[in-house]
Amino acid sequence: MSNTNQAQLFEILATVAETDVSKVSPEIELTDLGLSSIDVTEVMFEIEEAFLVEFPDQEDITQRFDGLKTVDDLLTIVNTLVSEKEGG
Amino acid sequence: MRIVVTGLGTICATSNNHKAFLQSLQSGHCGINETTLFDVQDFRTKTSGEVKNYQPSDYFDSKQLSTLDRFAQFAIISAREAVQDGQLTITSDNATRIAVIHGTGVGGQVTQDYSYHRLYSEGNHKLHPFTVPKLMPSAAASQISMDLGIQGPVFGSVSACASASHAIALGMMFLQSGQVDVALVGGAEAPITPGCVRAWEAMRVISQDVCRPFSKDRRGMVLGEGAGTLVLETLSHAQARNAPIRAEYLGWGMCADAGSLLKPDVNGAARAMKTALEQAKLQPKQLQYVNAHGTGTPQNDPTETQAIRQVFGSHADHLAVSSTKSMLGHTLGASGALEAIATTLAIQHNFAPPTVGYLGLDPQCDLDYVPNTARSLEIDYAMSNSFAFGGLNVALVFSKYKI
Repeated sequence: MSNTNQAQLFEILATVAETDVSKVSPEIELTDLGLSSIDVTEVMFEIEEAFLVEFPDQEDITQRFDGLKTVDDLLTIVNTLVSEKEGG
Repeated sequence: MRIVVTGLGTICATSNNHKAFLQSLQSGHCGINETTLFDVQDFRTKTSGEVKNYQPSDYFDSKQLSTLDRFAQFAIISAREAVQDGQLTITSDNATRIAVIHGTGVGGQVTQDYSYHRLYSEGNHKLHPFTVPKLMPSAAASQISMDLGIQGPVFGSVSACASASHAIALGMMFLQSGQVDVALVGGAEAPITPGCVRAWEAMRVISQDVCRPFSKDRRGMVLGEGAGTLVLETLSHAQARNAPIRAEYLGWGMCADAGSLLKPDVNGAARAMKTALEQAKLQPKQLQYVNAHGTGTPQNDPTETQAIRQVFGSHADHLAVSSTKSMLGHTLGASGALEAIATTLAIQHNFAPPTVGYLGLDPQCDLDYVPNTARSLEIDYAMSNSFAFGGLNVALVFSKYKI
């Protein structure tokens, strides 16, 4: 499941960051992909659309999820949201 | 050429006329409540700054009402009050020497939202014949001119959350051009519709409860609705007709960031303020009060604080700075007008309106925000700021009127 989520998330990040998906890795920081806070809002929208989940709060993701820096941090959140949805 | 403010009109979340508005600013009354205009059960955002106890039929007959979106209703109500407050009589002799410049962020949102619902959701292909003239952003300006018989330059001004402030700035230019003697300037907005609220939710800048500008634990802005109109005129014209003079209007500054679509810019905000002070021929230390843009978002408030520090230097620590959006919500294209009127009232009645809902210090926002309670303050000079999405900045400067 996670691997599918990862591939889909990488595609979203690459599209919003206008970069090749090969540039996206778990370790890379979102800002190093060139993503601004506005871009991250767009990423959240694309995640909600693709995974049919909803981020629990209106706040900026970087505030809500303290310590979110890397692609892997974001993937953890996506996996949590997806498993919560499937669990619920 | 000296320009003065001679009439005020407001309708907003706290009050339905400017005298009640003054009282609400002095008492720190918050007009943000649970939304009643539509069912918010499925919405994350359940609060807004709605106009209260509003019956359109108290103001309009059914024929006129059928041509008016909610935002234009508010615009007319505020304009009628401003003209009455300014004791301005409009006749065929002076009608062409009066301008109306009225801002809005989105225009006839109620008409647009419910028309599209009918079309796309209900599959009803027949829309009301007044759909277009009700939703056009210039409808407010046109409707004010028709309601009051004003025949000079009339148009809308559109710059998102700075729309009304641009209108107020343009009013000064029109008066100084000599083409008009009086300008009705302001803004109106009625954005509390399901579609509009959803669109704002998507930007993740909306608070789930109230609006706490500059405070720790602030969670964003809250949408509000309403309108404000000011009667501006040349001093000589005001004196010739013995008009009541509320304040003097000294200048404006406007500029664009040409940067981020959404993220505010310290230098752009500061540049608008500096330009306004230059035009007003004032030193920063002469001001006592700034009505901040103060949206309550994590991004705006530290940026505006830094910009105020950049412009005012050490005097920033001696300024009262407050955001009336904490009480009214963010009325978008009307906000600049309601805030310029709040600033005018603050000057006239010697008090600083409060920033309500303030919970405590955010280290990034370290000015005196007049937390929670209004304060007596002798104000000779004050500024009102508006910073819009798209990087559009306006600052306006007013002063006590002295002969």
